[in-house]
Amino acid sequence: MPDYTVQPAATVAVSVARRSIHPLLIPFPIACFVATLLTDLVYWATAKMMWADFSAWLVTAGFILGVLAAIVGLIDFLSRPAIRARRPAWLHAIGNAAVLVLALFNALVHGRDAWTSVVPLGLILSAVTVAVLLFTGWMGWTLVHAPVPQEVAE
Amino acid sequence: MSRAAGLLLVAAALALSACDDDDNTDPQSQIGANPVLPAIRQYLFPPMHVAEVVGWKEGEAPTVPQGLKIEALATGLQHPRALYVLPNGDILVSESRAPYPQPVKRPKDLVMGWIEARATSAGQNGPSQRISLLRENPDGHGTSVDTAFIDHLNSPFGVALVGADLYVAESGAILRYPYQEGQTMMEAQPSTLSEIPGGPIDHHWTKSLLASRDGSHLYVGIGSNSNITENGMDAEKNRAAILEVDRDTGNFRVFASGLRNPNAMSWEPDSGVMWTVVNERDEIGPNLVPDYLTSVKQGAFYGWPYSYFGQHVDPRVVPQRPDLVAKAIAPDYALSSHVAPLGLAFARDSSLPDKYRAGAFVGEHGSWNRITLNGYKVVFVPFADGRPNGKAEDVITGFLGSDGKARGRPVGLAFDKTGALLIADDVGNTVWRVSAAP
Repeated sequence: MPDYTVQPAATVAVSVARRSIHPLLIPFPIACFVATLLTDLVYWATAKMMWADFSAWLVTAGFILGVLAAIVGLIDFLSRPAIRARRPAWLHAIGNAAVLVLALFNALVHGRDAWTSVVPLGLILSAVTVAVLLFTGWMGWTLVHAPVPQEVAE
Repeated sequence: MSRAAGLLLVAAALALSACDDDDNTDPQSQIGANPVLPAIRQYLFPPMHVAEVVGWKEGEAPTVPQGLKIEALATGLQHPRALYVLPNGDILVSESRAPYPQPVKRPKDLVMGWIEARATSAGQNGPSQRISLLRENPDGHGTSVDTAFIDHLNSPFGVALVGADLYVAESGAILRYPYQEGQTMMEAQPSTLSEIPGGPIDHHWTKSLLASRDGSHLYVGIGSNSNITENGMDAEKNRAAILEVDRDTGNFRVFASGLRNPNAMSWEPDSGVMWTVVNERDEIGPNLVPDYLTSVKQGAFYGWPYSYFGQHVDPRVVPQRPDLVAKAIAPDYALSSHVAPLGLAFARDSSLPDKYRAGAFVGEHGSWNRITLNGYKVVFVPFADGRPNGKAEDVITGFLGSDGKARGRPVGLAFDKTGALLIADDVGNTVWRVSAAP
């Protein structure tokens, strides 16, 4: 049997009081992207521009906050071989890069005027974004909470 | 991660890079009664190009063909946009800007605000928002009076005189002043004839004014409050329309609708029919939708927002209105896409050479929503029997330099007392005077 221990937060590069900043930033873009999908759905149902306006702000804010979270996460990832050595870390990083690319496209689609700023392409991108987030969130959870094989930790 | 993310980013960059105008549509094929209309395209980044404004250097002027002469009548103005010539020959110049601040409803509004500011950039030209009075010298060269006639207005644009009542249409109201011939400063306070659709959003804010021939009504052009209903239909009440205002009561009704941004309504001199220039919708391609010149029929619907040039449906508008699309009438004469016509003047009674008498001049402020600039000139549309008759001809050009930078941009047009053509040049801060060459 290999010896398992839990990865301590102090092994990340960007931290405050030995707590990683990355998990602190991550909820904001996730909340924005999930809310974008919800307001897109309401716009689809009602055609009231207010909901499309909400979506435009949410997806833009989500993208900006997501870039901040990604920068911090990337520094952790690049400066700690122990993180890079783990497969879920790669899936988490690649997935979230895809989320940001999707969100950038989606913010531009939401910059169109009226109905086609959401239906169909904006709505599809919002839904795919949330689907990818479910996957990367799962991988992130694995990184934080699953036991780490001792031989790959530093 | 780096390779996969890198590929994604490269793919994104390729997909986002600015498109050209190439959809195989010749802008010249969009002038006249039956413009070629390509398929709708939607963008991540709509093609955008606003000519950088550098202004006129000393001695520079727009270009006119042989037989015409151009000179600056007045310079150093503050964003002159519309012109009105009083019976004694005095010229009222509406020096005007958008009412601001405009509400920011989406992140896009911040970006578009920046682009718009750039389009009027050379703008170190004072606060404007006033009407100036110019009095030409008897020889037509320069002015003897150049003074602020009415100051501190709220985005004034249209002016009309009926008897001794001088009307000024600003962002949200038609004001009435008592006018005495020859006065060079308005000292009386105005009364409000009518509240017209204005803020808090006043997207297309230029309110053109035209008096009926018998003086009983005023016609006011109210542009749409959005590109294509993105501010909601509630914001479009009594907009994208020409309103007919009763001069006694100030009450109005819709005279014609579906006109996205109608400006410079004028009476065609042979037929007595109202004509107007209209700025059509943006962001569905460099060659959609052509702006146009059209006669205005009472009670008619011209398509906006549901359709354009008759029954060409715009998918961005939901819920659609097939009933209105069915009755939308196509305008008379396309002027090419995104040229932004804001000035119109029929030339029958001018003193220009005969070839410029039968028809109308159109001031084209110029494009932003295509890569290759279009407009930025004054064209002449020949008329016969009260209808357009032939291809529009470029007459006053050179607002764009060969470097692609704007010296000026033409807006409102009028004929002075001698029959010379006046051109308001907003970013050039000049009123130009075009006369027959001696």
